[in-house]
Amino acid sequence: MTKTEKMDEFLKYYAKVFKQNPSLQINKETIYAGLMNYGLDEHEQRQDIRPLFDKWIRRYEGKNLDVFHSTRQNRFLQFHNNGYSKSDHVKIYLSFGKDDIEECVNIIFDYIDRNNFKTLSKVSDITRSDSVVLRMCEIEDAQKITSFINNNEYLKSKAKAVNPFTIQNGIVGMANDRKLSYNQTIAYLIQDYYKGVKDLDNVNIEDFKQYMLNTYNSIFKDKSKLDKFKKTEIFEKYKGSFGSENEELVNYYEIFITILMSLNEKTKMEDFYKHVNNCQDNKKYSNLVMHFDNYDNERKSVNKEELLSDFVLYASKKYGKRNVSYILQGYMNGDSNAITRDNDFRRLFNMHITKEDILQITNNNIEMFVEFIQQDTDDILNVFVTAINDTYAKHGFKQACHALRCLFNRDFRYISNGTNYNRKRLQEYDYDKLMEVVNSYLGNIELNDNEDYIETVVSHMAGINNNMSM
Amino acid sequence: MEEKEIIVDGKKSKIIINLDDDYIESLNEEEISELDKTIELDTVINDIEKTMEIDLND
Repeated sequence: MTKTEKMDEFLKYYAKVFKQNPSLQINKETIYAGLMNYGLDEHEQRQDIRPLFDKWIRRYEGKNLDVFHSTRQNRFLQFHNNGYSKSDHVKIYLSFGKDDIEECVNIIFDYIDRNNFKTLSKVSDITRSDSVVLRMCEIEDAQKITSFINNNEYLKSKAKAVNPFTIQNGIVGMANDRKLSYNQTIAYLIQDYYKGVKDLDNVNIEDFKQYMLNTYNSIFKDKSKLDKFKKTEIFEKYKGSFGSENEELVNYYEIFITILMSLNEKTKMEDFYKHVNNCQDNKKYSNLVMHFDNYDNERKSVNKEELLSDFVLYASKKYGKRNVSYILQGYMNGDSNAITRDNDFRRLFNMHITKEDILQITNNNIEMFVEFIQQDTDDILNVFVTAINDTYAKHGFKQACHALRCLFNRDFRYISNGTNYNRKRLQEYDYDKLMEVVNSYLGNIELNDNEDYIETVVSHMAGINNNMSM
Repeated sequence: MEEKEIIVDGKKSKIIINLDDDYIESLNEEEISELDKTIELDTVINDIEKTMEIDLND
């Protein structure tokens, strides 16, 4: 059976479990336990091997490896040797039956000890598909130990299958997960996938791959589900282990890439090692953290209502007022392409504006909002054009130009108040909003070389006195 | 650890529905605190997304 077939079989089996036992809740613990017991017959699962801990501790006394039991991780025996020089490791999973594990562990760790490999490894107190977890600091050492294991006939004859959702290399499964748990992440994603499918009967590996790719994109690329992911139990749980949320996020980013690689049967070992090498680079890690920090900062600085208003104004002009509501409805229904790329609107919307934001800002009435924004803009524009034209009519061309120049500097004094109270009305508008409307209107006026901008604009306005629509 | 009896395709079986945290194979607190010492957050600007990206299209 190929790796892909094994993953497919696993997904379909647990889909059946949940479908045929509706009282059973879909949860990641069940999936994790399924991965933990993978490849072991029922009578081989979770067999006690804890008595071997003392034997292994004695075996490595005075050797390079420091073998000890930590109460902080009661169910594992630690096999360490200067393993803290790297912040991420090549993780190698192995599984053996109860009767074979003592000798197999001896063979593997004798080799590691003899070669003085830097490692942070451990062995579980029960038989499971990852009862032996090697964490190798150096990629070169990982290559040597996997080669040694895969060429050892005794180990090969005793090895049990490992979690098929890891990168397979002979009898070992491989991954990398820094401070987090690769298997727990996989378990979370499988249960999330199950919860999202319409019918558990239709679960299959190709569909899961697509789910994985979509999830990766929506969290880390377009970030539309980033906030949601940060609120998941799997994210909340490990917050305390990291200096910041985004440090944890980058750790998940690294794991997601490893998972995507493992789902692709064509992934080469050199690609995986290259990825681990990237993950071990602290500068790259910190740059990724900074990437997400910058994203957070940019989001905080954006006024959502202003962004939506800007878009409504722009889209009204480009597509016609009537179509803006349909465009926003399309976006709310999940079509992010409904928003034009012009002025970076699409990226800004994906980053900042949710369906809930639109409902809240428009008070659940998009058409009315569009009408209001448009009306507001038309009013401002009318008053502005009237003000400049009245000034021109009363005081002449030079005064009108001077008044417009001063207006750009927040100085309203040279605008004729006239019978329409133009100056007073202009001063009552929000200045930024006024400038936005004015600039949008003036942007349509063509300017020839060597022409004075203000004079051209005033001339043009005087000439279009009777046509004030945008 | 909590188990429950289930039936799949007419066959009885047992399944784990609750798993204690100590079964989870991840770093313990001591290991994490040691690793923290190895991570120095330098701030060199690179187009890191590109270097980390893996093309999955085949």
